[in-house]
Formats: sequence, structure tokens, C-alpha cells
Amino acid sequence: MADDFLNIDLVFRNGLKDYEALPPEEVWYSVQASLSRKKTRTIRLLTIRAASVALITASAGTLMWFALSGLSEEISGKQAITLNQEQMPEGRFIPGNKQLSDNNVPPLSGVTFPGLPGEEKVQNVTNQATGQQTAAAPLAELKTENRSLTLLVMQPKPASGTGFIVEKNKGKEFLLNNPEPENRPQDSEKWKLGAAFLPAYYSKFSFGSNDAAKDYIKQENFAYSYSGGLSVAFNVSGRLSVQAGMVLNNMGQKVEGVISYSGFGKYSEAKSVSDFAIRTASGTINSVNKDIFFTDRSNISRVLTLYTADVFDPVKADLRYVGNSVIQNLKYLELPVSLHYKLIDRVVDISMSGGLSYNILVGNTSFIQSEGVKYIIGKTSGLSPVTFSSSLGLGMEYQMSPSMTLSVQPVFRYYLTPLGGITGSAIHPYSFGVMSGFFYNF
Amino acid sequence: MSDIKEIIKGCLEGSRRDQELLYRRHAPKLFGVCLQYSDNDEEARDILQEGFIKIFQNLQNYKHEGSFEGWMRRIVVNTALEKYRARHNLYRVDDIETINEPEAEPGNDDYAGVQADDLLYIIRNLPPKYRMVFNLYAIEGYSHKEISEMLSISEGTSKSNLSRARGILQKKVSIYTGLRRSVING
Repeated sequence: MADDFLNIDLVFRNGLKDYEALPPEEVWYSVQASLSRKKTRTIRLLTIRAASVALITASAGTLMWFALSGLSEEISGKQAITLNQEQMPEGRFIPGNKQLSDNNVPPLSGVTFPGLPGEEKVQNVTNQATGQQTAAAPLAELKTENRSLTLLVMQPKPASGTGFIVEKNKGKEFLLNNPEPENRPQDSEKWKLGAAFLPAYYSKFSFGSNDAAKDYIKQENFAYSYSGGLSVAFNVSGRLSVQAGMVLNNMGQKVEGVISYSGFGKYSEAKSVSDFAIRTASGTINSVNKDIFFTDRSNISRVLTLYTADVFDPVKADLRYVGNSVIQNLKYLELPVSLHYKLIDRVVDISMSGGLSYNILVGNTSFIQSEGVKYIIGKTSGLSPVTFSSSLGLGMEYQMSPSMTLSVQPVFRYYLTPLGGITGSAIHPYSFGVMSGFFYNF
Repeated sequence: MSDIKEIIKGCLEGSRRDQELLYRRHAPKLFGVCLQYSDNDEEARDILQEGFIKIFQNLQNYKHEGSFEGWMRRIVVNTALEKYRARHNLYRVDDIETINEPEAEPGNDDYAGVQADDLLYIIRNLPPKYRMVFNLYAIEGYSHKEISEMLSISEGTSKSNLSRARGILQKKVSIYTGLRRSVING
């Protein structure tokens, strides 16, 4: 018996030792496509890293530039000085845009100067234009009441500037730095916590390298999209902030060209496997709903089934027509990080933003719908569990109160990595939306 | 040998030509292995495709110390095992079977002359759990201990499955050779 067993082992071992069979050509194409995707992914990852480094470097550079340039314009008391026009003496001005400093002046106790004239005088002034240091006329005789006044900036008045003209002389107007709006958040309010909602219009850049993928893509369109979530922001400086958050994005894609009928359950003979599979550019939907019959509407073959038209006629079988499209609903948990820079820093700020987001697929459902009734049919296989997207926004923030901000921001988003896809297709969605939300400053 | 080293080097450098050369040279042999481990052609294609992707992805780990063909074959067999485990985990192979004698009675058949295509047909028609054990033991040369770890079954089950597989194969090969003889003898 053992010899017989050995014999049968040898029969198969020797008989199949050199067995060869030519695999179908499509296997190589799939291997090749997969290797290309990997290569592309590597390049894309490097690009993302390079872009991130560039963004961070640019942000840090901007921050540093503002920090350094701010030093020369800063008032050491860090408080805007507001003067009434009547308080300023006539005929006194500082020649040129020059900061004046007098560390001997005792600190001020109030925001406004209590009265003019006072006792302190500016000793010397350097004219920037000529570089000459001259004895300046007294800027003001100010009573400073225990408050340090080390800098007083005088600038030519801009056409639409606000502030106070302190001098008119030789055709030039000068004014003090604009006073800060009363309800600006204080420097101590570094953090913002908020909730935002973003309805968006989605479309996609699709790349199909084979005819089937191109045909599928033509008949697939995003139907709806909205997202909402929480975010927290840290003010790095007066203008620059870093924002991170957690957002749930819900989007639906409509797949046209698939006719569905209900009432098929009694004809289905399959016990555990799917009777129907619907091919889409982003993956294949394997129907788990035994009651729904699917067939192709157009000449584009999406539906894979044994119940082809020559085998089963849904009309003769008296099935009920449900619809001619399938909705793929995808939910992503997004973890965005973005940089926001205020272009205009007023009561209503105008700011621009840019960032990246790590998106995790948390919901994947496909369904058909008729007369308000939703029939769940299954999941789309072949989707990437994780994607990366980038965003660019330009919006406004309104300071409703010292602690509350309303933000409205049009946002453009682009998915750097594809949602998924069958061999030969890559779908990169992009969207336009308006994000609106409230932020609490603390 | 030096030729294959050049091709591997080219593949590692991302040369599409060398990748295709490697595939064209070895795919037929490896596809034969895939057919041996699969229920149908579609599954065999999937195994080959995934296997080759893994081969290219892990090429840098090949140390030029053993047969390159053997290294590739192990990857393909492991891919087939992964697919088998994924498919059969839901309804696990009966792990409490005891060793039984084979149902078939081995005769003094002369198995010479059985064509490879026929052997493949016979082996692919074995129940998957028997086929996997027979392939791993009789063709690849793994021990029952190794097979038990690979398939997450006991050694006893591995032996039992091998025994049953052999019995079925003997029976089918005997039928085949008997038919063949009767055809030849008129």
C-alpha cells in the first residue's frame, strides 16, 4: 500500500514537474498596470512630501518675515494709541516716517492720552530720506501717566485710511497708526474651536486607459455631496493660523445605464453567491439583494450575470420596474490640516487657506431608489480604503463678538490619490463648495 | 544564470523591458502551478497575477542563493494558499477528522503514459482540502507539521486528507488508464 501511495505521488510529481500552460495575455496587462500604479503612487507620494515641505517652508518664511518686519514697527507698549484731533497741537510733526523712541518715558496707564500738552519731548529725530539727525520739534507735550511710550509711528495718510490726521504741512498729511477694532480678539486668544458645514458640487478628472473604463466613466456622475465636522485652529501669529479637524464627508455617485426590477427573489436559485455584479469605473458592486434583477440599458455592458436577456425576461416574468440608475454612496472620515493666512485683517477678515487631508473610507453602500423607497444592493469592491486630498480656499471671517467668529469660505478640493477603480481607470474627484461655520475664540 | 541576474537587476531598476522578459520567461511554468492549486482558470489567473506582483515587489529580497525559479514558485504557492485560506476560512475544513483508510483499493496499475493534462484534470477535481494537502506534501515536499501550520489544521487532519486524496487519485488514475487500455486494445 505504501508503495502504491509512493507510486501515485511520483506519478503526479513527475507528470506535472514540467507542466506549462500559456496564461491569458490580460494577466500581464494587469501586472503591468499594477506595477505602474505603484510607481505612480511612489512619485505622487514624493510630490506630496515635496509640496508639504515647500508649503511649510513658505509658511515659516512668511511668518519669520512678518515677525522680523513687525519688530521695527511695534510699539513696545503693544497698545494702540488713540488721539483726538483736538488733542494734537497744530504745526507739529515728525519729518519722514520715523519711529521715535524714548525709554525714559514712564509707562502709560490708559489707552488714550489724557491731555495735551505735557512735559515729555522727543530729543532727536532721524530723517530717513536724508539720514540726517536733527533736533526735532516737540512731538507733543504729553502727560503719559505711568505708561511707556517708546514708539510713535507717523505715516502718510492713505487714500482711504482711517485714523487721525495730526499734521498738514507742505501738502503732506500724516496720521497715527490705525486704531485696532474694538472687538478684535486679544493676543491671549490663540485658539479657536468651531463647527463647519460644507455642501459641495463634485466632479472628477478621470483617466481611462481602456475602452471599457472610458465608457463607464461617461455614465457616472456625482449626485450630491456634503460634509460637516469640528475643527480647532491655533493662531501662530496675528495673520497666520494652523487648523486641524475631523470631518465626515458624504458623497453619492450616480451610475447610469443599469435597469433594475424588483420581485426577482422567487426566480433566484443562488444560495450564497451574487446573481448580479455591476461594473463601475470605481469598482464592482456585487448585489446581495436577491429580490432585484439588473440588466443593461445601453450597449455598454455593466451587468455581469447568468440571467442574460436570452435566459430571463423580466417583463414576461412580471417583475416591477424600479429605476435606471444605481447610487454609490461613500462616506469618508477626513482628517484635514490647513494653513490660513489673513490677507486683510479687519473686522471682516479676508483670508486664504491651503491644506491636505487624510481620508478614511468609513461607509460604502450602493442602492437603487424608487418613489422614496431605497433598496440596498451591496458594496462597491475595489475602492481604496484611504485617500489624500488637497484644498485651497479664499474666504472671509466676521468677528461677531470678541469670542465668536463667523466663517464663510469657498473651497476647492482635489483628490491627489484615486478613489479606486477597475484596471485601466483612475478617478480623481474635485469639488467646489462653500464652507460655513462658527468659531469660538479662547 | 548571469542572464537572469541581469534581468533581475534591470527589474530592480524599473526597466519595463526586463520586467516583461522575466514574466514571459517564467509565466507559463508558474501558471501550470497555479492551475494545480485552483478550482478554475479564473482563480488560476488571479493567483498568477497576484503572485507576479509579489515577485516584482519582493525582488530585492532575493539573495541569489537558491534557485530563482524555486523562489518564485514558493511565492506563487503561498499566494494560492492565501487565496485558499481566505475562501475557506468561513466554512473551515473539518479539523477533527481521524485517519481513515482510503476508500479506493489501489491495484497494480501501470500509470505510465498518463498525460500531464489528464493528471492536471484529475488533481483539479479533487475537493480543495485534499488537493491542497496532496500538492503541498507530494509535489512541494512539505512535511505534515509544516502543512498543518500553513493550513491551520492539525497534523492528523493533514495526514487524513493526504490519505483520502491519494485514494481518490489512485482510483481516478486507474479508471483513466483502464479506459485508455480498453481504447487501445479495441
